[in-house]
Amino acid sequence: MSSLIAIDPVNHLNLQINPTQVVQHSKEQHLIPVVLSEFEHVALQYPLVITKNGESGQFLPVAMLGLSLSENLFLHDDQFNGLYVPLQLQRQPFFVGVDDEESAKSEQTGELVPYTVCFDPKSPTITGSEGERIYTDDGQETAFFQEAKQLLGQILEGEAANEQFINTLVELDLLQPLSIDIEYIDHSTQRINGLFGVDQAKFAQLSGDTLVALREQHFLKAIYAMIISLGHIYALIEKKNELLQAK
Amino acid sequence: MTHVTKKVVIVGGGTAGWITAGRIAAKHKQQVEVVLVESPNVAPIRVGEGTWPTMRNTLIQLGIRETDFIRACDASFKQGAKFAKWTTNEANDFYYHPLMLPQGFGQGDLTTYWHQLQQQANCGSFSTSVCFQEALCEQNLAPKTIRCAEFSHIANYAYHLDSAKFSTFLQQHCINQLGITQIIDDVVAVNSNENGDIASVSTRQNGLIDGDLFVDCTGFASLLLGGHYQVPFNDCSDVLFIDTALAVQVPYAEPDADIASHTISTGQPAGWIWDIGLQTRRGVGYVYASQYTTEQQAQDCLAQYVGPAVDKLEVRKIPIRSGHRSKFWQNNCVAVGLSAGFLEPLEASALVLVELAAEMISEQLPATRTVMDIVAKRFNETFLYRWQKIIDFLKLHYILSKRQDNDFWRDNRDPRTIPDSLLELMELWRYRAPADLDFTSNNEVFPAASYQYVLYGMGFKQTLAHTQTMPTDWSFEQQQFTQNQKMIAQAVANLPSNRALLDKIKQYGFSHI
Repeated sequence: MSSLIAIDPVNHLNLQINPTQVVQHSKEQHLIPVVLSEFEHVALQYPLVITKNGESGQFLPVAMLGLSLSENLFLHDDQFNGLYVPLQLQRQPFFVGVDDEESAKSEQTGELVPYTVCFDPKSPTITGSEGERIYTDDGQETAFFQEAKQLLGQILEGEAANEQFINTLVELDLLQPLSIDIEYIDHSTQRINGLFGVDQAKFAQLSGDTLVALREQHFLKAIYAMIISLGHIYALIEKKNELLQAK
Repeated sequence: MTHVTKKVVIVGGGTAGWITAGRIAAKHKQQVEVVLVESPNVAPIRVGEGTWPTMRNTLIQLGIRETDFIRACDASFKQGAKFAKWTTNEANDFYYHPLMLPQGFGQGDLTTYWHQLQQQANCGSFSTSVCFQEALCEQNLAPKTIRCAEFSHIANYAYHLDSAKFSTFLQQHCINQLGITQIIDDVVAVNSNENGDIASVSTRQNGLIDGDLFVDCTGFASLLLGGHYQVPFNDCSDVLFIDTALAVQVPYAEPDADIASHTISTGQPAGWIWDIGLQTRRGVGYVYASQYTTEQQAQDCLAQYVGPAVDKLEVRKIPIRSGHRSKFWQNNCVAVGLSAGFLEPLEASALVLVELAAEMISEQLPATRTVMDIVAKRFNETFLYRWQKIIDFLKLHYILSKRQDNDFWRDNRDPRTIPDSLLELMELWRYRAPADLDFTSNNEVFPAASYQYVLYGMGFKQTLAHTQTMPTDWSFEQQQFTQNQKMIAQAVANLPSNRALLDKIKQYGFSHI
């Protein structure tokens, strides 16, 4: 990711964002991070699995869009064929940043660090004169920008919820490594490692009390979403086979 | 009457005491009470700072999380040992004993192939040609990434650790998690039964502590086995000459200095210097034979190795008596750790012997007094064999040296100082490489591959003219060598530095899967 720029109405009064292009950010991405609140939507079409963050080794829920590195089986000729666009794509090109000056100030005062909205100037959503304005001529935020900021809030909250969810899965020892062996139509083979799913045998043995607790935390449906979504791996294999046959 | 083993008393703390207590409690805590009596007045020796990969299993068996261990014990990763200046004493004189088997080990004839390449052209050293781990060590890289599960590896590894911190960490875990009773008191007398068994030990403050099995972890004092039972000490100083250590703790020059991911062992006129990198400091020490050098000369060697920083550091002198008890289990008393013996720090054999002893005691804990004698006999046979093999393997490091700078090295090569068992093997290996069949016991400590790394690392030449099974097709061996080069490139590209991974463990920790 290129360096982000903090948004302000003076410098970015005329900035335009083309939301139809957000899916271009999924190019060469086979795993897209997702948050708990969107699990049900993600599980409709993509395998919902857990991987480990390369930097920290921490567990991270992701939607699988492809079976190997840099492969997105839902993006053809710049057209995205998925039913649901994960928040992590929808949010493009906006990010939440922390202003260094404000951060230093808040360290002294003890107040919460205010978030700053930033954008990625290299994003394919910035196509020049096409798309949505983020400010009106008199510097007021447009409805489009306000929605975008809400979405960023949803992701921030979602990341906190993810952490609780993952911690619960780890405490209950419900995660297990997935090892997936695939043979494609051209007889080439592949083994996928480094992904984790719900251990269904252990899940089936949970006590009633634990299940009730999971339901109250809204984790129960997330767990079912993960279990059921795994079947979509067959759909991914089929897509890949179609590509192989077309060659 | 059948006397059931219900209570085990460990006399002495330190790593030996706590590992043994922990292994027994972890396996038997429902049936057996474990009590550890530790003197408030005896300071442990605390020089064992290098482990074997076996330590990972020991920690798992004790129910310890790797992240907790690494954070609490100043621990870092160890991927083998680098032996510098052991052969010729020249600047470029070094070889590695990595912790991974040669690529394709046991299939094909990699050593003969390597010898042939050596004759034809200048190929790399044996260890770089057959194992990718040396390349990682040379660049101070970690054996895994933060994405790996705890205790799992990309390259096999052991640990370097702060012995004092490790001992405290084990103690806390054993008391809080494994329900071991700790009594801090001095043992002042040993009380016998009619059959010669130990009935109890008398303590200064806590009276009599009775038990069914007593484990002697009293260090060099060997209070129970050596003191009470007078089990003789087999002196090995005629084979392994080292009798003194000068140890020092060296801070890093910079807080982000590289941390070596291997033990560095550098040959000196009358012994060698160990150099062990922890997270916050290095442990360095000169072990030498006082017969061949003066303490002042040894101090000078150590000062030269450490550099000017040495002036501000406290140098500790530790006497070493190389040898072991003639047996380790007598009646209802078994010795673990320094009370059983000590050779020298080379190849970090001290802690691994503690682990092996604790494992065998725990796994084979005699259910009754009647079977204890059988277990004791088997334990003694097993460990006498292991000590003998370790002595042979340690001696191997000295006999191939070409150093002429001191009689220490010349005398080490004198066949009269070499055990017959090792002389025989050396004769066999003139014509073929060390093979697994040379070591047929279930209780082998060092695999044949370790002998290969040392032999060929030190320039030992196999006589190819008499090789009986010279293959005509080297394609398998070529494949393995190529595969090894690929693995070097891949590992070097993907693994973080030792320091970077340790920082991440402190920040994030490993997950258990």
